[in-house]
Amino acid sequence: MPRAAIAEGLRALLLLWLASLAAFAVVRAMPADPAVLSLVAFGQAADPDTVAALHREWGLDQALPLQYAAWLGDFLTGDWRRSFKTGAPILDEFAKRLPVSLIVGFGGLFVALLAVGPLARGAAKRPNGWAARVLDAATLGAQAIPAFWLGCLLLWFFAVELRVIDVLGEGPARYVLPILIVAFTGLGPLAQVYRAGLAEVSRADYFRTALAKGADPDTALEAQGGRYARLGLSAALTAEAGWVVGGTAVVEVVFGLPGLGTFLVDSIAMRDYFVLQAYIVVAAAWMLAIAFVAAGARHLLDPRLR
Amino acid sequence: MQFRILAAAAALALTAVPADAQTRPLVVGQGFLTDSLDPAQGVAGWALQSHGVAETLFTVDREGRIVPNLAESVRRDGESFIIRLKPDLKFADGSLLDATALKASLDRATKENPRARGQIGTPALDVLNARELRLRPERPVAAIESVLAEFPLAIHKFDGTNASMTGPFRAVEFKRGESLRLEPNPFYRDVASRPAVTIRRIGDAQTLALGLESGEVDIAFNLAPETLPRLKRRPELTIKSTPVAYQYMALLNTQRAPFDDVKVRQAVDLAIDRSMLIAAANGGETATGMFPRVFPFASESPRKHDAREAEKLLDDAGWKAGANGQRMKDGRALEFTLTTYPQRPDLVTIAPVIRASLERIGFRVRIEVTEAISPQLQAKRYDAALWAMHAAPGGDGAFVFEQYLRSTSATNFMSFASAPVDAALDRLREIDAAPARAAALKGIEQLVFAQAPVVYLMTPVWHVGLSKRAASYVPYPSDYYVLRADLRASP
Amino acid sequence: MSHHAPAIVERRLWVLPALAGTALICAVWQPYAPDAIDMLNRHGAPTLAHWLGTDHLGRDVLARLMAGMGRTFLALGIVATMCVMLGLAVGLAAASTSGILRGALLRVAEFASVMPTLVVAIAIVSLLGFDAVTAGIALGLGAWGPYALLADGLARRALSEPYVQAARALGGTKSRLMFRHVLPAVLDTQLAYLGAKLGRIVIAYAALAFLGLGADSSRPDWGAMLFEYRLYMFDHPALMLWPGFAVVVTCAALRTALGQDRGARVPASSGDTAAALECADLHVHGAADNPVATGVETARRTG
Repeated sequence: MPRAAIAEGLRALLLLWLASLAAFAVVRAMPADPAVLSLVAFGQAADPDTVAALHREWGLDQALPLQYAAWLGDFLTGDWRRSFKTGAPILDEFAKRLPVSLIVGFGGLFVALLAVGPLARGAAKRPNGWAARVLDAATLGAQAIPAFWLGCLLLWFFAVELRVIDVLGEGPARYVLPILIVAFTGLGPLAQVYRAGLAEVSRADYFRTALAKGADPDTALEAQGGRYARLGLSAALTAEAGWVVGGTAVVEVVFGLPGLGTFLVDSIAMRDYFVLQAYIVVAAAWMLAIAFVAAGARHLLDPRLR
Repeated sequence: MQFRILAAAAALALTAVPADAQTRPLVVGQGFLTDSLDPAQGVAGWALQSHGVAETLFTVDREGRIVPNLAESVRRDGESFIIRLKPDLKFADGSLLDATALKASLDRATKENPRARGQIGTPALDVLNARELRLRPERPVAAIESVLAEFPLAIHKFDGTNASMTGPFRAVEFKRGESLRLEPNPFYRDVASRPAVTIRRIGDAQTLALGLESGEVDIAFNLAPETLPRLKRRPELTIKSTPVAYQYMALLNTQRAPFDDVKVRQAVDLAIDRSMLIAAANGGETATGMFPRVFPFASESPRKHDAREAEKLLDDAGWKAGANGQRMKDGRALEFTLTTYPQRPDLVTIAPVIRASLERIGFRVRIEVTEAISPQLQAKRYDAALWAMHAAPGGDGAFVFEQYLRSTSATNFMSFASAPVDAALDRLREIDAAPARAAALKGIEQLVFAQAPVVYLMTPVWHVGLSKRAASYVPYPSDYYVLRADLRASP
Repeated sequence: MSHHAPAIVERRLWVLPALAGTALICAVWQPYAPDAIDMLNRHGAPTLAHWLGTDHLGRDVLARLMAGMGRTFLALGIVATMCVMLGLAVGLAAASTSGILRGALLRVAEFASVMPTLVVAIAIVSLLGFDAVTAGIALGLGAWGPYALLADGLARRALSEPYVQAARALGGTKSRLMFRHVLPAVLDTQLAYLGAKLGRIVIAYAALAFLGLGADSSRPDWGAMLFEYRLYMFDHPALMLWPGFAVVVTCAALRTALGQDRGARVPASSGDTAAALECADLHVHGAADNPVATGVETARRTG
């Protein structure tokens, strides 16, 4: 269906254009002048001459619509401008930092997935059993325990008390704890969906029929309900994947990982306009991409949609 | 099943190998790290100077005095200045720092960096001989030494891709936002006595403390006071605290009620219990005036706290306390907004304590936190504002008085106008000898105390945590020079 | 013959008024002024006078928690109202028109769903200043999109039901049809969905308060308290546990009252709705999945 595909593509482009417009409007509406903030942050006098010089340097002295047009043109041709704060090209920064956030985010989701199956099956079979309780506790805990609090505790335990890892470790080892924390926060929602799907199946007539015919409950549940539950799981997974871009800032900060999240927080404080604009567009594009992948997965998993 | 194997592999990856403690460079953990190795970009000059990589022509010594550094001297010559360099200076790449190289550096800084132009515009530069350079600023400059000590004018040599500087350390490996590996600069005096250093950027105060505890950080710069009790319980660590050259104060807008009345201003000055502020900030010293006590020209006696005296002043000014303790005058309540800003977390912490002090004697205080306080101060859209500043950035006390208290200054946020103060500042311009200058400054302080346009609060303290290897480190009273030539590591 | 599950079954609905009542009491009365400082009683242990002890400025922790509860529920009410109202308005309008107008309405809702909520919310809050009302508005603006998509999907399905078609054939006006037949069906599911998301909204508000860029971090919000007390986590761990505990208990109570957040449930007949739900989920996660979206002191301690 090429026509449908073209329509989809156009729709996505329209949304991204809206996002770029909104990004520009929202970011520029923020109070405080980045030039003043930047001067004050380093103990320099924010006199009008120096502020004006910085504005000229950063191209902030033009009319806003002109600024938007110029920025969008540059953005589309791959020139994402430079960060006010670091002076480095923003595209390079993103390219360097995105992998870090993705490793932490997707690594965490992957580890969570490993635990989801057994926990959810156990909870679906025995709604008051230990698996169900663990799951409930994990869900609530993940909602309520601040990630940096957990991060600091784990760091203190493994690095200060046991001295088995380095607080500031280099290399792959430094990703282990952040990934575990992300897995912990993602586990609850994923397992709940999977469990709800399985539970729904276990109440269905066809499942009872299968049991009446003497099928083993585990096998029957997996055979009959697995696909259905996985469908729900894939939807929840895409939901979790949505915040991988920028949502892992906490752990990045606690563990000193140079990801997108830390960059974002710094940039908000310093009103680094072009970084924030680029981030909003990238995050919107990421959401769209995830939704697109999700739709594909749904078509694969859900026979009714084929 | 294969999942379990994966999990086991992941667990194995946890065990990291500790580096050899003997050859390990000293690790410095701090919240800021330069964004660039080119001192002409943005504020990189400031950070590189703090990292011990870049130097300026003049510098500020531990007592806060401006002293020659790369320059031997500077002398006025009509509208221009003649800068004379010390002999045999070299950049970290081994090339000579002579007047020609100095001209190239200043040319590039003022061309690339608007912050440098803010100091001296685009100056005319002439090489007089190998060691002397004539500099003619675009507009008149009063204190040339302090301008030449400013970070945008850090001296460097740029070869089109890399900048070489003159500090005791030079960069080996740079991971932006993460770490900077340094080695001793081989062209700097007594290179052999200095250790290699790695600076790690650690944004979170709690993580910094953990890094020090786990033995990975040797110098933890600017620890959060809240983490100190636990660190002090560890025998292998040394915590050194130093009052810094910053001063916390409250600026009062003398054009607005209630601070258009000097008695109300004096009452505020007397009502604030500074020991409570220090308790809230977990350390510090009561202010004696504009200058922290590290400066030789600071006033001696701490600001007084006397709530009863303050209440008497308010009574005299006609602000009578009602049944609920709230003071009124002509049907108006004694109230104001205290503005502060989040870039200095301490100020946000002490604001509610100040409010408590003042509400006890009949004020009503609203706290407002604003991200960009400067424009509000410029426009005088405030009642009272908390403010932190480096009290003598150029090592001379006259500068801040000129900036903040001269009636004609653009940055006189309090709209303070006092003929005696202006006259005293005029006289100060003629005084050269340091002791006489100090005496004159103290005299000006007394004039200002009487009018109380500014309420001086406290000098903050910074805490540096040190491992055994770095125990000899002596903190500097500012963050401008975290790493210096005197850095040594004990075995 | 698809029938959608009744939105509210076996839920302990009495919990909700109880929670709201508690929040109301907390908002108007605390044992002490939440900002009252007592520097002589810093880090006080729990006593009869201060049931949960005092913090680093000698403020009563219980009073601060109570004030925080009032503020949290105010924000929660604003977000919920905005989501339902905006969602219904845009969704039903889209369902009852066609062509360009419908496309435009749906694009706007989709657009609201793909914007990164937290950053947008921070920007809006920094514009308006942080308090419970502005934070509620900022979060509501970021969260209504999915509700509109959901309302549109449900309304279109309801419009195609035989009994609605029949009513239409009998000459019912469009607006009447909408009110009599479509709105109840949509509102039912809409509220169920909202109910499942309330806990998330509480957390998003906490995250925003935690970040509190430019806000007065000494104000009594659970998120702001987490931020303020984070440095005492080893020396006075209880300080940080209380606000975290308040978030947990509130989320748990909301779940008891309104059932679980099951994430994206896939109704057995409508790919459209499923997509909407997914989008919704995508989005609310984007907002903030744990109480602390990030914890950094961005304040540079430089001159």
